[in-house]
Amino acid sequence: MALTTQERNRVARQFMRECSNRGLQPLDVTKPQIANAVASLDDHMDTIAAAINSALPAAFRNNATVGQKALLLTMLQKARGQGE
Amino acid sequence: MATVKHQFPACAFFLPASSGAQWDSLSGTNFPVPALDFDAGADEAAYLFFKANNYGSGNLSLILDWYADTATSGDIVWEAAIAVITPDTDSQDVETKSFATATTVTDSHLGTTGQRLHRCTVTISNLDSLAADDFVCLRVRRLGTNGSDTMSGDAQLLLAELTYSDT
Repeated sequence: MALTTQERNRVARQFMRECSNRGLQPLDVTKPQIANAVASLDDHMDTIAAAINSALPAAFRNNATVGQKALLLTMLQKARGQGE
Repeated sequence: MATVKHQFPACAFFLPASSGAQWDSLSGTNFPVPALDFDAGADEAAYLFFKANNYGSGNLSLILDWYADTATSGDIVWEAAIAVITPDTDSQDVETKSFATATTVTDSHLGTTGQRLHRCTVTISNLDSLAADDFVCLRVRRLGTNGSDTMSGDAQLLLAELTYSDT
């Protein structure tokens, strides 16, 4: 299920804070552009949720919780972006 | 006729218990950079206290020197307001004194270099009956929730200068 507006705002703020903390700069986007990106990705996550779930091996798909699947996806994405 | 100037580095500011800017001392390549960090997604404040020595008349000009932590574009909305008390005359409780109506300025990141230094001026026209030698509390805020504040990341305030006429 997509995030609420308040949750999306929190993600946007956390994103800006993390970019600063990790030295990921310059950040050549404005706040409205970040907000649009958060909204677009969040909506897209709803669209592809079923496909992501289907990609999981049956044992993991059937036994892991939604929260655990989301955590795995987050950790994978983080590891893949670790080069920057 | 002369212009009175009060200069305030970042360390001269006082911070509130909540919704305040954050102290920062950045390790520059050749010297440390003490700054106040104002978040992009909130309205955060910092406060100055001074005596309006030789205040004559007219508006106050608050000049802010700031730079962007991560951004290279966008606009930022700064706001300033004063709360004034005349010692031995006003019976106002110091701890409950309110601010006069704030005024704002929108400044734009000039691009080219991300962490370049910017300067903008807030004209404080709501003077709360300011007179010479009054006690003044000055509140500076970044209005990160304002729709016109589009700059991502922190704004780092280095220096503020307050000027006014002595006549």
